[in-house]
Amino acid sequence: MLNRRRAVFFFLTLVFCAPASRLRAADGDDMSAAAAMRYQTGLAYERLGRLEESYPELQLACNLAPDNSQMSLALGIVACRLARYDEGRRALEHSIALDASSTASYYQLALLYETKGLADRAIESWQRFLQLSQDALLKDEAEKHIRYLQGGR
Amino acid sequence: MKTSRRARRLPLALLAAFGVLSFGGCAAHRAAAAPAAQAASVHRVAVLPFENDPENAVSNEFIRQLLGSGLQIVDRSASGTADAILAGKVLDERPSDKMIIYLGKVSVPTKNGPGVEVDNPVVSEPLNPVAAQGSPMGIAGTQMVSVNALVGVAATLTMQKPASRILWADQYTYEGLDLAHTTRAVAGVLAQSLRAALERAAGGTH
Repeated sequence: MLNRRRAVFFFLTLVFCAPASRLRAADGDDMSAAAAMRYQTGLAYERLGRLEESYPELQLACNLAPDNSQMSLALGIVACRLARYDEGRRALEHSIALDASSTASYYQLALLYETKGLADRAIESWQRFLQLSQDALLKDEAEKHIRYLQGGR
Repeated sequence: MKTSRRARRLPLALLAAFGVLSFGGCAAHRAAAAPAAQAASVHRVAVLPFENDPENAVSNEFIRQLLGSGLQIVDRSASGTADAILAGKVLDERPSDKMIIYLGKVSVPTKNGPGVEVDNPVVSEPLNPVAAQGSPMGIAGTQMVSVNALVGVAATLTMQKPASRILWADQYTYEGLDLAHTTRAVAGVLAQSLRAALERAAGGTH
């Protein structure tokens, strides 16, 4: 009797839950495909210099894939180029929260913190950028920014 | 044995060129300042419009920065009454200096050996070739541009009497997200350098 009940429960689970899980997986795939499509469209607009059109595409991509650091970085950069510094800051800080070694995020955030007058945070970002970057010219620039922010030149 | 006039002048020209190059090289790092006695007599400074600065953004920023310094600041209409003239030139003003950002893990070449893998690198020069891994939708070398403003300014403080005696000279270049912030930073550093030179001069005369 017990075995029969178990078999019925197993059958019902298969009938009702399996399509739901397939549906969820399909939803996830669709979401990531849609996010990737929005992301590529946003980058294409950015390359054409059409930043006002790039920005909403990247926003949509980030909403569809909130755990993607690269998409957040791209959104942050375009937001900074449009002088939307608060949105840029949120996106760049999110990209660092997802990926602590995102070199470009530290570079862009350091410049943004400087513009906002947040000297201590800017110095921290420049120092992290110095640790990660391999570009000698930009490392010199980072050191110059740190000297300036510490009251030197 | 006759030597031509041009040949006789060559050592002098070389000496002058060496002097100019040496001064130019130093000016990027430290200010040049005149004897203390003359600099200490500067109380009233006229700020003239800078060259290559059609909207007077740099000279206006200098005026703003120097107003609280204890100096009397006047504009060019009252320059005849000033002890010294502050003038200068915008050497470089690029509202869109571009850096390339590669999205994803990219192998970046180093000076001494094989490439190092860097996550979302920023580079001052485009990498060639780019080895990107894991780019979305199989597109290798996805990249975008970070645009910054770059401002470079050279300034001098010249004594009115005796005429044309340069009391201080300095230059500075900086980069930031926008032109207004960067101009403020450059004028701030140069104004601080000028104040320090005048304070040193005032201290030196006592």
